[in-house]
Formats: sequence, C-alpha cells, structure tokens
Amino acid sequence: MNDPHDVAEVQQQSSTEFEREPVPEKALLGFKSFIGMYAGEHCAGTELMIGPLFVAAGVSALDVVGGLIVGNALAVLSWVFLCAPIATRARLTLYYQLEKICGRNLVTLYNLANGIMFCFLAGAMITVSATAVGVWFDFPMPELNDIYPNSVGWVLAVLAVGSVIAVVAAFGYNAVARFANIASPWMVLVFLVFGIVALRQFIVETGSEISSVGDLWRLADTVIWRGGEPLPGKIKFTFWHVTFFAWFCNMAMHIGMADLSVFRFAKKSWYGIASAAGMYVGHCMAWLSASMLFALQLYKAGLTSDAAVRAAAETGTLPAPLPGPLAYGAAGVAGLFCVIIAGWTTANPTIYRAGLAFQAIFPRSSRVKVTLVTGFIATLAGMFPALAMKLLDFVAIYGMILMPMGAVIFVDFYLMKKLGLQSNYASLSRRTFNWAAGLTWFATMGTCVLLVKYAGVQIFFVSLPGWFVAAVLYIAISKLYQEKIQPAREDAQ
Amino acid sequence: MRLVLQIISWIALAMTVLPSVVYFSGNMELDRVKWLLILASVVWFVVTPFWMGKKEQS
Repeated sequence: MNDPHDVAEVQQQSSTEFEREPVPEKALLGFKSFIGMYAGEHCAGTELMIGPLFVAAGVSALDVVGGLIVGNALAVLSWVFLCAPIATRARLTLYYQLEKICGRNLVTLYNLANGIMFCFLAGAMITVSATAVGVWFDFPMPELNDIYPNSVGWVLAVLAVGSVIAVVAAFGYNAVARFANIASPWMVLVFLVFGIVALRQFIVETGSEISSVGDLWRLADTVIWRGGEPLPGKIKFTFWHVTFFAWFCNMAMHIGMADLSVFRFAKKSWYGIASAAGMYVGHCMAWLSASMLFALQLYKAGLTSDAAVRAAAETGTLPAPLPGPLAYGAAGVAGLFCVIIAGWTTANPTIYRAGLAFQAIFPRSSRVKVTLVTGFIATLAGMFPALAMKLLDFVAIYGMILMPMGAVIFVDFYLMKKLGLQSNYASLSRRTFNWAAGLTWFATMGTCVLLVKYAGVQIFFVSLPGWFVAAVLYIAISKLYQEKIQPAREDAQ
Repeated sequence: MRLVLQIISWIALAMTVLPSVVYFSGNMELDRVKWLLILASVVWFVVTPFWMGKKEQS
C-alpha cells in the first residue's frame, strides 16, 4: 500500500500547481506516488457496472480473461510510450500544452466537451450508488434495457445520492479526497471478496469438484462466462471487443493525453508503467469479480442456456445487472457500503473536474456554484438508467471524442518540426483558435461517426483508425494553414 | 502509538479478505463472513484516519 500523502500529492498538484510553467526538478515525485494514484482511481463504482455488462454481452472465459490481459497491457503501453514521454519532456499540463498548440478558444471548446463527458460519467457513478439505496428502500429498480427512469422511488434515490455528492464536491472536496484515499485499499479488497464469494457459490451451486487449475477453468468456461448469445438488446462481445474496450476505456487519459497533467511530475517516463496497478486491479480483478456476481445471478435464476434467456426476456423476468443488490448478496451491508463509497468517492473528483472545466469557460462564476450546477446536471443524467446500462458504449464514445486531441499533441510534439512545420502554432502565431487542430478534431469525429454508421465499424474499434485519421489530417491541414512564422519567440521549444 | 494503530489497521485489512478465503475453502458460513467483513470495515475506517495521511513525527 502507498502512503496516501504521496497519492494526494499527485492528485492535488496535477490539478492546481504549475498550471502555466514546466514542473521544476524539486517538485518531481517518486514512482510509488503514481502506483497509489492509479490503483485508487481505477477501482471505481463504474467497475461494478462494466463487469456485469460483459456477461450481458455474452463473453466466453477466454474472451474476457485473455481480452483483459492483452487490452490492459496495451493501455499500460500507451501510457508508457505515448503519454509519459511527452509529459516528462514538456512537463506541462494538458491544458497548457493544448493552449500552445490550439489556442485559448479551441481549448475552451475542448473543456466544454470534457466537462460534459465528465458530467455523464459522474451520472453513471451516481446511478451505481443509487442501486445500493434500492436495497434498503423497496422501489422498482431499472431493468437492463430501460432508457428512462421507471419509478418515483428511483428518481428520489438518485436525487438524494446526487445532491449529497454535488454538495460535498462543492464544499468538502478535500475531505472526500482524503476519505477516498483511506477507503481505496479497503475497496480493492471488498471487490476481491465479491469474486471469491461468487466463485465459491458457483462451486456449490454446480456441485463442481475443483482440484486443479484445469477444473477451475472448466467451471469458468462452461458456467461463469459460457459465451453464447448476448442478452437481448446487447451486442455480442468477442476477445477483440474486450481487448479494445480495456485498451480504450481510458483512452482520454493515455492516447488522449489527459494524463500529461499527472506524469509531468514523474522523474522518468517509465513511471507510466505505474498505470498497471490501476489496470490489473481495477480493470481486471474488479471487472472479473463484478461480472461473476451477475453471472451467478443469472445462473441461480436458471438462465443457463440461450433458450432460457430468450424465454425470460419474453416474459420480462430477465434480471438487470444492479450493483447494489449484487454486492449485498455477496458481502452483505459492507458490500452495499462498498457500492456507495465506490460511486461517491469517484463521482466526487469527477464532478469537481467537470466543474473546473466549466469554470474555465465561465471564469467569473464561483467554483462552488459551478460545481453545484455540474452536480445537478450529473444527477439528472444519473436518473436515466440507459447511461449505466449502456456504459460500455458511452465509455467508447467518450474516448473517441477526446482522442483526436491526443493525436494532435503527439504529432505536434514529435513530427511537426521534422516535416518543416511549426509546433505550438497558436502560441507562436498568437492565434486563439488553430483551425488546423480544430478541423482535425471535428473531421476526425465526423469520420468516426461515418465509419460507425455506414462502414459497419463498431464504436469499440473506431478510435484506432480514428487516431491515424487525426494524425494525417493534422499534418495535411497544417501544411495548408500555417503561415511563415519567425521562430525566435519565447514560447518556441 | 502510530505503529500500534498501523498494526490494527493492517489486521483489519487482512480480516476484510480472510473470512472469504475461509468461506471459499468451505469452512465458514456466508453470514459469518458478512459479519466479520462489517467488523473489519468498521475497525479500518475508525482506526486508519488516525495515522494515514498524517506525516510521521520526526
């Protein structure tokens, strides 16, 4: 376990210090600080939703286990080879780096997009916490394919949870951040407990004899993640879906370069490997544990074949993946607290960050007011179960929207000068909107949408060709757009 | 004092996961696991704030 002082130090410094200057040598942090930060941040309430949605998507054991191992490795490599090297050489925040390339007005637009995405993400976290409230108060909970709120009780539960989270994010952010650091190791272990208990119950329910790893794998492959058709309304997930989802679910952070703000404090670029702590604890162990809980629920309901699932769907008795009841079944009241705390402690910084992004657009508004309004929007979003039930799609869209700016930063940092073009063009030309970067962003998103709509490329994969589209477009448009600039300006690298 | 509190926290953390391991081996009922989990959680959240996040006195 890491000293939360270090963890808090990274989190706090990454958002508040050296905003418009490179991080000085004396402020650099050690490797341990980054391990703590990543392990804590990526064991969130949404993990309890993502794991079950894999089961709903009909994954097999090889697909989910293999896909998570490979996909998370690709995510770690993206941090190590794309994000951290730029961060440790430039030592600037994402926003300042973007401002030098794109200009202040385009960064404002980026902030708006980022803030909206954060709002929806926080909404999903509030939804997760509200499912725990549903265990105590008996009201109709959302179903798997629900889009709109389905009961007054649900709306009130989300409103109550969301209001508390918003008020706390506005007035007591630091206290919750400290609490989150204390809760983090406990939460990780409770996620592990979910998996252990679910596995034992599978062994008991199926009457399996487990005396070797082979026996365990057989249970996993034939009962827990048995593959087959996805649940109605969901698309089928293969090895490649899981791999790309695990790789791209934090795309905004690594390929999208949001974590430049974090790794600018790293002494060495290889510290990017610390992200493995978050990936293999939160995005592997926690997802697998949560998925086992939902698989167990399906098994206990007798939904052990595609025909049984279809029949249940026709009679409207298909269970929904609700983290609250699932956690309660496995770990009792402590499990419920884990769901609430996991949602709360991760929604808190998410709403705070969304508030900061919006405040950059409305600098005269107070941070408290902006955070409260942001929290209210997130709460409204959380009332719509579609956000959580389609979380896999939302996370993929989130990465797709912010990815092009990561490609712009990568090309600007490594290639522009080699191609005879100016890097940090907005800063050098004193423009507030670099149309080369702006058009790259819009055209890449447009291309991705077209690929998804008309070329049959699924949203989970489209960001890979999208990154290359963005890189090529930025170079091509910059060639047309850039004027001759006197290079000897103080902002020049 | 700090060391004592840290040891209590570590034990609480171990007790968060150990009962489920015993349950997995078939030697404990799930209800007991849940109670021990609550107990370990309470101890963790009561004791840990007294030392975690506070600089060690030199």
